[in-house]
Amino acid sequence: MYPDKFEYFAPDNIEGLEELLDKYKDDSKILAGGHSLIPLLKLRLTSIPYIIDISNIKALSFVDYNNALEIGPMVRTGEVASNKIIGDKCKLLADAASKIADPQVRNMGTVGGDICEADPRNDLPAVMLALNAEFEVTNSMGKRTVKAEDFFKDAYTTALESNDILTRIVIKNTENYYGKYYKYTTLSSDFAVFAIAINMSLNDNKTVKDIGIGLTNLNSTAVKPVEVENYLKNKKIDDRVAGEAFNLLLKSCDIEDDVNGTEKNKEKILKNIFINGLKEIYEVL
Amino acid sequence: MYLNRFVNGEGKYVDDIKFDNMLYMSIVRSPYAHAKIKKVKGGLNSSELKAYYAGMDHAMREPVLAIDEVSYVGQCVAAVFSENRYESEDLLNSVEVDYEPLDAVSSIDDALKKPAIHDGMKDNILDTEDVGNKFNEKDIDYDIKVSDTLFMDRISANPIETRGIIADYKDNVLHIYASSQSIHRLKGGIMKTLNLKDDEIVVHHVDTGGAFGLKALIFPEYIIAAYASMKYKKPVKWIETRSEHLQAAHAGRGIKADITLYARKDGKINGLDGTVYLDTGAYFTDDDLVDLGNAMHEVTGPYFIENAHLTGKYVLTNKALNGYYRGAGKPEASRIMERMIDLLADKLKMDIADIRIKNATEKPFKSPLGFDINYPTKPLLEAALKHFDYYNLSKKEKLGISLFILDEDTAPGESCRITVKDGKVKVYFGGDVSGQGHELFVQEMLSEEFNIDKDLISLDYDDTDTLKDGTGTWGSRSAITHGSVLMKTAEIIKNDVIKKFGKYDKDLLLDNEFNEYYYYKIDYNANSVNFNMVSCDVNDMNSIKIYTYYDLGKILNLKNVLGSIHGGGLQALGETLSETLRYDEDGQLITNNIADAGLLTADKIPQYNIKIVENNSEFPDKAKGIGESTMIGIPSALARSIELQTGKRVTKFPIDDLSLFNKCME
Amino acid sequence: MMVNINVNGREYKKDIEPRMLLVSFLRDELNLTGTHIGCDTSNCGACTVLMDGKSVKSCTVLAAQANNHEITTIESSDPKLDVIKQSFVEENGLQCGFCTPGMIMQTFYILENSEDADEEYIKKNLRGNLCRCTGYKSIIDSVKKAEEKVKGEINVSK
Ligand SMILES: Cc1cc2nc3c(=O)[nH]c(=O)nc-3n(C[C@H](O)[C@H](O)[C@H](O)COP(=O)(O)OP(=O)(O)OC[C@H]3O[C@@H](n4cnc5c(N)ncnc54)[C@H](O)[C@@H]3O)c2cc1C
Ligand code: FES
Ligand code: FES
Repeated sequence: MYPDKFEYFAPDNIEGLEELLDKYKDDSKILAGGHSLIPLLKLRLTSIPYIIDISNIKALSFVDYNNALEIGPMVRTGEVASNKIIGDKCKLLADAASKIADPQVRNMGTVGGDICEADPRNDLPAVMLALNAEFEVTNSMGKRTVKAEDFFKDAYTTALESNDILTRIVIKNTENYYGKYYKYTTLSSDFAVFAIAINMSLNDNKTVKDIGIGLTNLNSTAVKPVEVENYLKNKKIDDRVAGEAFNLLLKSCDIEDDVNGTEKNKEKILKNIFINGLKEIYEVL
Repeated sequence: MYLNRFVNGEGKYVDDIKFDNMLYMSIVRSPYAHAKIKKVKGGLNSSELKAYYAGMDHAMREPVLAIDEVSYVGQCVAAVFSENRYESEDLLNSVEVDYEPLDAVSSIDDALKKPAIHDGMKDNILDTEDVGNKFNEKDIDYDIKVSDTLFMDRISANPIETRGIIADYKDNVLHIYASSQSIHRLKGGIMKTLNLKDDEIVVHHVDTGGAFGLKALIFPEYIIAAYASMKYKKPVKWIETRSEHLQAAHAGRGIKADITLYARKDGKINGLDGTVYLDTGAYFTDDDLVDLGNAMHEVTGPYFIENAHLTGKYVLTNKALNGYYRGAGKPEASRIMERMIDLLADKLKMDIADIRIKNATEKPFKSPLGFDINYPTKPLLEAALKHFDYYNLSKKEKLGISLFILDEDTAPGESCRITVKDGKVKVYFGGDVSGQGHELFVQEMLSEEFNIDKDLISLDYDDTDTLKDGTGTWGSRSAITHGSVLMKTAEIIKNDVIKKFGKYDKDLLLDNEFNEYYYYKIDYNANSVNFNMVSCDVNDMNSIKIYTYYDLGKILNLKNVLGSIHGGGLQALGETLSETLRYDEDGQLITNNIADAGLLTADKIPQYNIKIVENNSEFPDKAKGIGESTMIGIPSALARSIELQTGKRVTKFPIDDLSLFNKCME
Repeated sequence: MMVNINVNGREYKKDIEPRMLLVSFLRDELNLTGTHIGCDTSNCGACTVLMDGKSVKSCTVLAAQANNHEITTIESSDPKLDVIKQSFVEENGLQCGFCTPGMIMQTFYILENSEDADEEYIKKNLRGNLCRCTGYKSIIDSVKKAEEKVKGEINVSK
């Protein structure tokens, strides 16, 4: 329950961080809030010679809104849940963040860490997919933008290279959108058995103008069921449409019998929360 | 008072005690459920410390450190030591072990089918035992026969403070500081394994952060630490990690039962027969006898059933050993009966209360399984049903009920020392307190008895030298045993005052010095009759309502009573709905952390409707027991309430159905 | 590495290994043993302390991460903390006492962050703290009582 030895750095600017990452490459890892990394180090499931703490880099902690919501990766998930701008502009993100673990974990864990860890059970990857978020990725060679749908590759695997830093999260689908995060758990654990993120906007004629969906822990990594999104666009949501959408949604899921329950039981629950969720959001709008 | 110490962070638990030159011990554990050890190199291993602990002299006892073979994930293979906690963990890598994996047995059913896991045995049945009167179904009066198989999965005790010990060998005496329910038992266990004489070991009681039966036991790690301290002539500390706890701490329940009831059309049960299996884990310990013993002898509980017979089977699996968990066989026994009687009621289309009334008794009785019931059981059942207006309420709410006997482990009694010095009264009990708040009733009772301020009275910790004898805290005993010996010892002190001064008053007591020790012997186990009722809406976790109707004799302290009802209440919900240890077919533990083990959080608490009746017991303090009642009464009643709504009969605990209690976060 | 950590108002400069967890720093380096360890997977909350006023699980924070930050533990003599402790005593919000320091520190955080925490809010915000003894009921009552006292509805000196 105690980590193996490592060297520790805490640069206070991005350039310093880039230098260290270039120097130590695969032997190094960024430490944000540490609430995925430290548990692994403690159980000695991983051992990392060089740990680079980014919490002293002020340029990574910000929440801004100018036409799009912009969030720094070091913003704690507890702050994401309670921040006024985020609450006003992006209900889905605030809602999902408030459903992560417990207050103590949210006081340390960061939005960037939750995304970069890409644990299939983490909540924010699916939310980013539903929001069509864009990530600014920085390294010593420069900056690039990666779309959320190109970011999550597999369990614990993202588009980031060992010297890449997630430096900014950009969310454009905010005005006129409403969304919610439907998270199903066991009685005793915080992590999702599965969850669905939905972000929606409507046309004047009450048909769906745009919809983003993200699925947590229904596959090896968070997935975006694009077919379902396309199917729902320009439709009014009723039981038949929602049911049809669910049938399409199942194609993006890989549900198996496991300790949490049988495939059948899980499918039934999933269907319920998806259909009720779609209808709930539709009605709020 | 202890509450003040704890809220200030001044508790002294084992890990808070530090000695100079202390070594921290870490344990190399088996990653396999079953394997041959081809080589162990490094650390303290069985080539040096070859010993067996607990389990009397049974051939299938567990070696302290694995010898040639490992039989469960987490079994101790070697120990390493360092003056630094972190480095002690680093050293785990310095021990080389070569394993050759073998086929593993991971459940009772598996064990009954597969070859023996230990050499020298023909199958995995360690022992078979019969209780009751074997009968032939042709000879009894019955119209209907119902059979079913029930399972109660393994549960980890999971006190928030894990196991831990400091062994400090100095001046030829081994001093032990441990988180324990009974320092006297611990002393006996270590003495026996390491061949020590009575004056070569002293066990000190320290604050104990919860125990739940587990900390009444002795463990291989404790023996290793004691041995190492004697070897290195240094204090040795071992603090269990939670992961080790889930893997290796002796686990509770683990029961399967095949049961048949024979009854008349009117609901009168005339026969019970069946087999009860206990998952002993990989080796035998004495605790198995208590667990399966209770789980068999107490099955018929509050009901008089003329013909009852059970066969008990101790079944070996490649899992950590079996141990006590709150109730130790008693909840199992009651749950078997209550689940079967509900099934019978359904078959006969009878009301679940009516069928219980039919089988409850007007007078005390002895069951054919050998359980002596001290009180009639029908009066309490009828009073409870009336109190909660059962027959009307059952039209509105989905109710499950449970009538049960709480068997109180009062024998063989308990010891106490009271000292009066410098105007302060100090109390020491032989049976150690592990967080049940004994000080509250000690203060309440003694302030009344001595007519002095509560603040002048404290409960202090003893060691095996201050109190040469003592029992422990378990089995719903302490209200009776500790309360009674306290009353007896207080009487002696009062008499001392009277003998010396011709009369008693509080100043004569406080201005002088007194010191008395007394062992109050009780040569039988008492018991009491109790009732629980539960309702719920399966779509809402917060809808669970627990109705409690307990006969507690005289209440020694109401806060203690409520603490037990609320604390045990949530544990009972956990046991019914989520708590378990899961293993895959290779015997690998797949429950990785305390959340996955199913412990419930604050947002899951039920509603309570509590009625306590006080029919005094025959003991000096007039109390009856409570500690295990919730675990006995609540799960079967909750299971009933659930099955009435889902239409799926509950035969397995925990019920563990993802769709229950809509867990979509709000 | 050298760290400079303010604990309960006092500065501690220590040379430590970077891998040292904050909980070990408190318990082993400073002998502040009121902060407990109940698990190795960040679930139980027995190790809860405040870092710059926010509750964190000190078993999942490196002492290095706390460098130049302020830590408050159960041993702090903050008057508000005293009110909370007293409420736990009065409402019997503990049995074995092992989870208690963590519960009290989380309560401190709850009361610092919410004007009027109702029962639902309290329960939700205690989700990161496990208690095996009390079934939480008396703990929730303790938090409510502390809240009332802090709000001044009950005379604190009573
Ligand atoms: C008890 C417990 C319960 C939890 N429950 C949940 C839950 O319900 N839902 C949920 O979503 N999560 C849960 N988590 C995980 C938690 O939210 C973590 O905080 C989060 O996954 C990681 O964020 P962090 O800031 O702590 O990241 P860290 O642990 O510091 O880092 C995680 C990974 O991301 C990398 N990284 C971090 N920041 C950057 C960056 N800016 N650029 C590049 N790489 C970066 C790190 O190198 C590391 O590999 C839980 C954790 C615990 C301990
Ligand atoms: S010790 Fe369990 S959460 Fe920190
Ligand atoms: S009081 Fe024992 S764990 Fe909470």
